[in-house]
Amino acid sequence: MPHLTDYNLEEDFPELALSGWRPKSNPSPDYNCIAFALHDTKQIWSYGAIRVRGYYWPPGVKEDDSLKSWMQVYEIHGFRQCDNANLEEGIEKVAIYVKDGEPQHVARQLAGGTWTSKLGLEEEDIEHNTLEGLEGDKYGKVEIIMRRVRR
Amino acid sequence: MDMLTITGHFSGNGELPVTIDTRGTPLTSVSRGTSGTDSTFTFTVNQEVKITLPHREEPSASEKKFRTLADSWRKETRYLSSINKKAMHPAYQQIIGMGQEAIPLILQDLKRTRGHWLWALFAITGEDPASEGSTFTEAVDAWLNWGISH
Repeated sequence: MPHLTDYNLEEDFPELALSGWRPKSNPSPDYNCIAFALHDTKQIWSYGAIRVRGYYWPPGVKEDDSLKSWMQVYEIHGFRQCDNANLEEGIEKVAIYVKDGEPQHVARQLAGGTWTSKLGLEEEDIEHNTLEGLEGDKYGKVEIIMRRVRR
Repeated sequence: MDMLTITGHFSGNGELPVTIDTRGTPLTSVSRGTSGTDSTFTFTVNQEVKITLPHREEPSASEKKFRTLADSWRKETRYLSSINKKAMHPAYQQIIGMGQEAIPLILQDLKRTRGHWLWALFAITGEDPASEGSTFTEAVDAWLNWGISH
């Protein structure tokens, strides 16, 4: 699939060029990384300081952009924090990237061990070989790994 | 005949701003790129063609300001996943600050990109035509319908 966007991901995420990646979708404004990590490509999971309709935030999760709230979103979907991103048979993992103490991005591990991510609110899905591929000044570093039984 | 490459932008309604009469012979290469802000076209021509340029009105000061701010907002918030953070960007807030004059420009951009303008429209108008529980796609449609009826 051709890369349809006008920006150069490898300039913005230099580690991607080293570790390898592939575009997996066209750009879409209809979902974000939090949703995509939970296999939802129909909704944007994002709290808003003003309650404009068109965005979803799970009931019961504190309405803020804190790491604790992002982790809680995954906890209510069966994920629990774990200590490594290794591939384990029958286990699905998500990784939360954190910069300056705030969560920036979530990637989901595929059954083959690579990772998949929806970039931003309006860009594309990519498959990246390593979590380090998206680390840097945009998303910071992976600080939290969570796991659940693959469904 | 030498090769000639023509590059430009699609107009706001997604149509080519130029008419190209190839006199029945297909162009050798046509590509359309998309980005967050503009759609571009590139033709490679190795045949005789007649190109008609459109008559274009000079964009208004508001339109220029909106376009500059919108471009900056898109570029600088490209990788943000949170609508809260994306909408708090200074350029987006300046667009909200333009008030009523920004509404037709926002709706035009929303129609073209289906991007994240709902917050700005809500902030300026105080209205929310989307139904409770709407997906983003449904909410965009509701706003575009709102634009037609206003």
